[in-house]
Amino acid sequence: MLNFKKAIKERLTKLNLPAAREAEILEELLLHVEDRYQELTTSGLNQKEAARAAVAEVCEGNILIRQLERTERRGVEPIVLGEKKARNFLMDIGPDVRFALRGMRRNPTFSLVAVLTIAVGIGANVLIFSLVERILLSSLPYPESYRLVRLIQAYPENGLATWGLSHATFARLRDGNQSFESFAAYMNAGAVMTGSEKPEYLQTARVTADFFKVFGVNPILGRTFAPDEEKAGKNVVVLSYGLWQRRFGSDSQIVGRWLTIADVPTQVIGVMPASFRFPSPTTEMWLPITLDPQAMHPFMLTGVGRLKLNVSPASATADTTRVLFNAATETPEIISRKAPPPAGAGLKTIVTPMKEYIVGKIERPLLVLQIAVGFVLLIACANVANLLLSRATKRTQEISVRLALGAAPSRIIRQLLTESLLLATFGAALGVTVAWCSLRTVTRLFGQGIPRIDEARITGNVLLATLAATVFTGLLFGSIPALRTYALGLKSGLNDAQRSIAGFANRRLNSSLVVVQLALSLVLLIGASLMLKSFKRLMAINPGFETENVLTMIVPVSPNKGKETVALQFYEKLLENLKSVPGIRNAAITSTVPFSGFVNSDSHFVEGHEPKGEEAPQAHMTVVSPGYFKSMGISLLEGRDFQDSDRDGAPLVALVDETIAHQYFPNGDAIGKRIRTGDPEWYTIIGIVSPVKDQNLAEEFDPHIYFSYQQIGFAYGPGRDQRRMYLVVNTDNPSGIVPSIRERIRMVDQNVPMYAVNTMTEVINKKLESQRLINFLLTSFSVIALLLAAIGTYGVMSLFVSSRASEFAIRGALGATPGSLLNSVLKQGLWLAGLGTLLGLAGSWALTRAIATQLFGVSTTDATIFTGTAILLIIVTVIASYSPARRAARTDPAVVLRNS
Amino acid sequence: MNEQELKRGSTEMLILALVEDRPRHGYEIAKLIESRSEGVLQFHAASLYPLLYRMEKRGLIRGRWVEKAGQRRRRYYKLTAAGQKILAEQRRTWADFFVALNRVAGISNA
Repeated sequence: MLNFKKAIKERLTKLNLPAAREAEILEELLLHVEDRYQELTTSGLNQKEAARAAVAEVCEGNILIRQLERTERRGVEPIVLGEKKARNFLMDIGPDVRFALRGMRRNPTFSLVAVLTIAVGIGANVLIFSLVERILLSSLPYPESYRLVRLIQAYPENGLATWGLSHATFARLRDGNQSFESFAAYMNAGAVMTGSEKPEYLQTARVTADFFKVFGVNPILGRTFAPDEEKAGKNVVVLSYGLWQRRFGSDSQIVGRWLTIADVPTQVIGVMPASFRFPSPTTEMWLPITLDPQAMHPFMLTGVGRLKLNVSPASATADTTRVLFNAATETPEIISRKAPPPAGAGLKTIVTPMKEYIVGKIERPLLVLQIAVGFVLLIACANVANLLLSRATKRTQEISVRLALGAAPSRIIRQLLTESLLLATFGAALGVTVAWCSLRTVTRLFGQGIPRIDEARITGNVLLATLAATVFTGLLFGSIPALRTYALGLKSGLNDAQRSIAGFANRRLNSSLVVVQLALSLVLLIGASLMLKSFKRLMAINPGFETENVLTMIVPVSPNKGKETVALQFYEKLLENLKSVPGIRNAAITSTVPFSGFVNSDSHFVEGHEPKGEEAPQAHMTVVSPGYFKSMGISLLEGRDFQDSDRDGAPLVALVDETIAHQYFPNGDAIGKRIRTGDPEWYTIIGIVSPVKDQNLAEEFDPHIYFSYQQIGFAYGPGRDQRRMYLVVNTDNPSGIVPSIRERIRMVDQNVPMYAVNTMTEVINKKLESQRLINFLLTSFSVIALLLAAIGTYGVMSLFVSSRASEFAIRGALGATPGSLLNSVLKQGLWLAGLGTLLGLAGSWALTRAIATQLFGVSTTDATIFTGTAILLIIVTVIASYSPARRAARTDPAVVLRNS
Repeated sequence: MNEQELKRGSTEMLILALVEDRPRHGYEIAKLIESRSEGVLQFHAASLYPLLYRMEKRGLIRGRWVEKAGQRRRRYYKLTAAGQKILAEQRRTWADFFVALNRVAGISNA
């Protein structure tokens, strides 16, 4: 016969229990087996079978050991009766998810609202993070791009804050520095490509031979420039990937082909990869600079360098400043002076890390947006948390039954969290889709003003961050309601009074969440309003010229088309020709238009007011044709405009703006006085025009001097390749007139293209693109936030009203008027609004200083905005509370009391 | 609610109910469940004892070795005050549950 004791003990030993406990369990189980054996033999089983069956009931399989293990070791783990297979955390996920899905299907409205809310919150975050990730976080697409820097010079005493480099300065810096592995210079330019197809104006960059070496990028076809190509001025060109694709159909045999660029036969030597987009994404070809180390001006070059390992931008600044100072001491002309700079002069180089230079300005606005969408997400979470909390009350019964039937608390909480994580996941999936679509729209609408925005994608990193945000969100809005639901479930079977206390605690939680929502949305509203007001102020500034009806375009003439006079004749003929085009009020040419990004500054001297020392005051020089001021809507204040007779051979004349006239001739006797530039010839002032802004609306007016194009030609144009002028046309129909203008240009010279056709409004808008984007997004987000907060308020107020229905009924029965019931609910809403407003105002007061540098003409604590938005918030809250309040007022005591 | 939760919850209640009027030992409990349910509910000792220990740990029942004249000593389980409360609550919940089941599915013939 079986030895019962031995059989049981064998199994218990595995548990390694304390000896006394083991003995106790053994004794109890042994009794059971013996009793059972007795019973079985009595019922007629033979001894052997009875013994086997009795032992088997206790010892068969693993059940006893596994369950004892749980009970004896872990103590609090739940015991599962009669289970047949092991379950673990992962295996429970399937049923949990299925259960949660069933729950979502049962409450489609609830689920839809929750998922949409989360989608808005996560979508906004994905959108902004995809911009932040690409623009700010990812490095530039060049090897070891952190070593790339940009270099210009500064000499504040000489009238201009920053200067470009001259050929001579560049050569000295390149040869004398100890900081750079390689150093090059470039300048933006443009050239007309003629030949087999129609003439086309292309944006080009003139670069020194080491330019591509600095960036460490190799061409995908052919080669880049050799050192002797910058010296000899050989006619070779490197094409951008875009141009190669667009104009040459990605022809793999392109290297060696000859193109006609600026009327010069030029040989293609290479094609750069698509990722190489410097100095600008719109640069289409690179041509070598013919470097003249003796040329002391103009200062049109920008330096780019690759720092040696372990050299910081700061030490490179010190090093190159030393080289520059020595060069200026040796040859003062290198900085446009006659005497060496005194010790302690502000002459220096400015070395900026390339990435900072490219994206520095957009950094803060993007971070502000990221914080704003963070707020939107928090508000969304609070909304969903409130929804879940309101459901908590409804689910009390379900949870209490499950608890009573033996569900472990941890399982129930996990189930509730699974539900919220599932909501978050659906929301995130929808949010990513929305973000993906809106990213395309945003880059299309605002693509031009913001660096690298066209590279923004929803990348793996973005998705990873989204995943983290989703889990965070799910836990954030899910955990409080889950604990709350569980706690309420525990208290099931409580009487109504206890229930209402639990309900009260719940309502307090609801209210706190609403207050937080209202506060956060107020912060966003205030931030957005400040930005909008600032932008409105900026846009309200009169730039000094007409914007709506002025059409501008570049009309470049090839430099080698005979002499300069031939080119000037082209413009004269064109202007003459345009006079007969119906719809054109005025037309003129100019060397530059405001906000085009191209400004030519030079020193100027007024006869009798020459500076005593070495200073050379600067002014913006613009070369124009007669009629320019009329075409641009710039007022002629005194004197006369240029005439066709102000040409070569006639007395030299100039117009100045009011800024210069006021500065030198406060008595108003500027007309007839003489003024000159750095060159020795004097120009007689024949007129005074109103001032214009041409770089930044927010800044003061810069002084301007205007010259006649027939006297000064292309002296202030953009350089060798660019014998070009802007055409400005004043017309009521800017877009409709373009074909006629194109036709007239072709009539005068069929090899002259037109390029960059824009109204002045568009020119200014391009400048303000990034600000527009930030305003647009920030405003959208704050409106979304306000809507979410209003929905949240509505939900919570409805909940209040329905949970207090019997109270209202009793009050109604006791004689309270509907008006007083309405008021009592509205008062509740106002309380929430008041608290939210106070919190929001305090938050804004602390946070808006982060956008101080983005604001123009508006204080970060603008009283009108703070008051206005606070009132708006309160009004919205009252509106959101109104319909629940009406429901309370209409409570029919009889109906409610009968049902309760 | 899954089958497991149902089984575990109901078993606990059965045990509590059986030790409500007087203390009983394990074998007796197993037999009573079987006999009172007329054989519908059966209980393996392998599961019963761990469950008893667990309920004891939670303070719902208390076990004590009792020696009776002429018998080997046995461990008797007695209902505690906490167990009493839980039993009452579970009875109510189950009653509600059955009423609900009956309303919906017409299960009981009462």
